[in-house]
Amino acid sequence: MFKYVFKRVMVGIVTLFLLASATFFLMKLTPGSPISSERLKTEEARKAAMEKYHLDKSIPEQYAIYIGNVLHGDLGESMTANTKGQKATDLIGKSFPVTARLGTVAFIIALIGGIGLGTAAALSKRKWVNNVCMFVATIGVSVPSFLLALLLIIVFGVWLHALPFIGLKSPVHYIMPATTLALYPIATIARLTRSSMLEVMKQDYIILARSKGTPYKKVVIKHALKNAMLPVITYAGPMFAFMLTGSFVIESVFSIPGIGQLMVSSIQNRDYSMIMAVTIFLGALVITFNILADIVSAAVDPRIKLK
Amino acid sequence: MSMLEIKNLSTEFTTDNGIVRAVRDVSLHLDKGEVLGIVGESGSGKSQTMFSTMGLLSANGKVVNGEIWLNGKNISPLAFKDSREYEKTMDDIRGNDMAMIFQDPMTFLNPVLRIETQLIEPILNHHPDMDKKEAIAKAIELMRKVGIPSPENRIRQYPFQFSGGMRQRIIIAIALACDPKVIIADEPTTALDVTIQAQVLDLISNLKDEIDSSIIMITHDLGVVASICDRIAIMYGGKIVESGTTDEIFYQPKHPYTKGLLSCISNPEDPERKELHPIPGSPPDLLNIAEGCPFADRCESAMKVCKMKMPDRTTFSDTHVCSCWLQHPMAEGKGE
Repeated sequence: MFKYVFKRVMVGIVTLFLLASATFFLMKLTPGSPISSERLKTEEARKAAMEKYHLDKSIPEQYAIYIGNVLHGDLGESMTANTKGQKATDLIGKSFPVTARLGTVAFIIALIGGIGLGTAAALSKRKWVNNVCMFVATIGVSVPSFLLALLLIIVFGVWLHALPFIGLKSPVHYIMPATTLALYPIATIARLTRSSMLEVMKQDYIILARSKGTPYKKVVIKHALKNAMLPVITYAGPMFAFMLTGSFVIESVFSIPGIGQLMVSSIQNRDYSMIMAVTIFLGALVITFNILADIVSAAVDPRIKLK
Repeated sequence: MSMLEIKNLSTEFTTDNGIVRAVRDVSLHLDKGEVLGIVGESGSGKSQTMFSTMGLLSANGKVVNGEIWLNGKNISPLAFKDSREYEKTMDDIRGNDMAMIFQDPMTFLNPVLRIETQLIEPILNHHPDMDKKEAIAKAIELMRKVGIPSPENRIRQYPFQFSGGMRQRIIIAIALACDPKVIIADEPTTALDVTIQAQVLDLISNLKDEIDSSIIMITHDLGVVASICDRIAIMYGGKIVESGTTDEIFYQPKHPYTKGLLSCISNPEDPERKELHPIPGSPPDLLNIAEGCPFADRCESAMKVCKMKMPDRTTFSDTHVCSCWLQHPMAEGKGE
């Protein structure tokens, strides 16, 4: 188990290194530069900035310097005018918790909603329940999140004045952005749960459980759900990671100062160190949650041995 | 006294291709302390008769006719107001008054739950006042009874850590957890090695005496039947074609199908039985099955009437009954 986690972490570090390298060179290929903005009008100022950020050196040299800094734990500082001089780690530290809170709320909604809908669709004897659940699931995968976000804002925010839609000041503020963010995962989890539940309920061990005199509901909760959750867990780990990386679309629509916004504004400003820092951070996040998903799977299914 | 009596049971399955009449007008009874063997090939309806009795039919299956009397109570789903009431009654009965031992030890245990959880479940279901500790102690006792070494440790393990024979013992322990008066064993040895088969059969018949219950043994293995059954019912095409004591079936078989089954046993010492004589043809398709004797198509002595009308029961003794036109007075001399 520890050996397995250690191995996965090592592979993860190599992956991160490759990710960082690829991002670095792609970034340099992109036209534009952080100091080409009109604020640095004088030649001296520009030169000073070029020197400060090593932009006057060749790209392989810059790469070597950057990797060296990263290995020393230095992710650099922002180069953009309004956040200039702030440490990249500080900026991430400020915006990530916002996204993480929203992502966690959305993740919980997605799990409860998806598993609930999927189970209901699989087990209900009434056909319309299945139809309604699958309709929601189809809507969930096919309606783009910005459209849903706008619809929700118009209906509940503007027309009904029922829900606030700017920022994340209070728990009520979470309702609309979290729902929007959760919709696609709800749909996917509902489909996964439904098909695996249908499969599990046909298994012989369900018949044996019923032959013991265990009531149907208890058979579902105790015997079927745990087995049916295995594919959902495999999906939920990486999904949680992606929810934590934030959605630029949703953060923009609801004016949430999260990491998705930070990422996109960094790219727009060619804020080199910020682009790199956010990429490495999000990459590490995704890798971590994949490892976590494997560990949880092994905890649920004793047949899985982490080797 | 009959522990279990099934009268005119019919069960149907709705499929995409039509209605499959898996069990057709089956009547049988199980006396106290008795072992009744139900013998037939795959698809003869023997398992579905018992699944109907236990109320464990798959969702597309339905009991359409008949009565099932257990301890003087009719537990046919038709005797209840609605399925909720039926399920409630059956939840009390299943695993308590009547339990089932299943065929395949590899698939009937839940792979993600510990043996402990699966073994104390029937105990707690039917003894709600018992606490978990007592139930575990009882479960360990059960494991010892069915011959599992060091049960204190093994109870914490998962099914995949057990061999096939050991898993079958767990399945037997689950069935016997509440000392059921009726045990239905659905081919309990089919999936096991021959050496383990004998052990498991011995175990079942010993435990049966210990807890004073009666057994219905579903099998297609006449060797199993001969060693432990008191009476035998032969099923074919969803019907019981012949039933009698083990001696009557083995030494005075009346139905051509029974005779066919017996000639499928090879006996290297008996020159007449040295070779196997398989029954030609295949079992009938129970989808939209025709009137008449289901075995008529494969029967060497089939007559015109066999395909037209199901034969009545002919009684040879208190215990020996057969449904075959060859037993009709007008068919004398035929089929010998």
